[in-house]
Amino acid sequence: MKADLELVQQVKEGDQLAYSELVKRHQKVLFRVVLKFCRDMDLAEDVLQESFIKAYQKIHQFEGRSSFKSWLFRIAINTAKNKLRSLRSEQVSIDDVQVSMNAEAESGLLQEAVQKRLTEEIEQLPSKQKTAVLLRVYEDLSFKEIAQIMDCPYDTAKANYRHGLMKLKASMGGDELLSNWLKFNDEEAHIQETNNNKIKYDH
Amino acid sequence: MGHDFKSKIANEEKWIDYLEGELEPSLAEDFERILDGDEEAKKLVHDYQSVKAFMEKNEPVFEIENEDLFFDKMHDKIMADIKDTTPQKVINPGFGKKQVGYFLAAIFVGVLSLSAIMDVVKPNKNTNIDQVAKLDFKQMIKGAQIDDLSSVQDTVFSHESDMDFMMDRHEEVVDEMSKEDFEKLMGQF
Repeated sequence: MKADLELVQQVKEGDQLAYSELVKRHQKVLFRVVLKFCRDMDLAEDVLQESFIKAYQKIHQFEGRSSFKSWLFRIAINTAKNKLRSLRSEQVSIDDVQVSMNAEAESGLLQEAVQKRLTEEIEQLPSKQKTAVLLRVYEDLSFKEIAQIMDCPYDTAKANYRHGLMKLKASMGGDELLSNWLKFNDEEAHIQETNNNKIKYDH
Repeated sequence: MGHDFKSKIANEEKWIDYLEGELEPSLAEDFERILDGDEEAKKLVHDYQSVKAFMEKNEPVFEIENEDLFFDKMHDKIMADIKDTTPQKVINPGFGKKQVGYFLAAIFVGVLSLSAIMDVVKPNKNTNIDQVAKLDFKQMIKGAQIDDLSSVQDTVFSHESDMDFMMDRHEEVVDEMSKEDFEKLMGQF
């Protein structure tokens, strides 16, 4: 299998089949990330399509300083943000957008309330903090990758993540909903166990 | 382990770094020693772990029917759209919004430094660099008539020590400005 950079070089030389391979390779993971930002299938489809077209048009601007995947993520997240911004300016509320969300069936009222609350809190974060938190927690990306995607220094990506998480903790940490959820899901035991085991460092 | 060390690291940001595995191993060991005997630190770590567990367990999952078909169609649409397109040649990006963000941040920092050097700012019981920074930036923002001043204040002013973060906030503010506000702001210089 050819590496991304090799395919990119072929695309720059006019090979559209190479781009087809890149689309196939990255569209699923990119779609998942975009959905986290848009929470709407149709909108995410538009964003994904537009992002791949933009990436193709701007392929000569890709210099290989980050991975192609990070570069694509950056384009897609910026496209999603712009789309959401224009939607908001048209006074479409987030609740309206959620109507068409095809989320996995949630079980029970508590779970539903928890997800709604969490979504609201994440939505309240400043855009860059939200990006850093979503990419770190849900995509398990390193801060180096997040920095590349956000086109910012490593420490800035980390600072955005830290401040985002601190805000989420401040707004949800002492929340009754969170406590109930922890009890309901027996997460306390798991967290306690993690606490005892501590974070894995190679000493 | 002395009290100084404990208080030095007793801030939430460092604990998050610890949780994310971002500390040097030797420093992480110190954190672990603190964690063993400090109930407050234990609670803090527990709270962050709870929030992360909460997020991870409540990650929105989206079901796509006939996923392979869905992505095949998506791929075909994209390829059809670019079929008659040629990638753009690289052009000089010029002085864009991002550069303006850094430019404004540099001016802001420059003004503060100069003020401090020339003793225009005279810190005393009631005035400190943080307050002056707030006023200066507020004035700049007010002059440019940017709407989201409160969010700018919330996000900027507790992080003056973190230059990257601060510059980033400037960039974000500029990035989110309307075209009219942006032109008005540029008119200030």
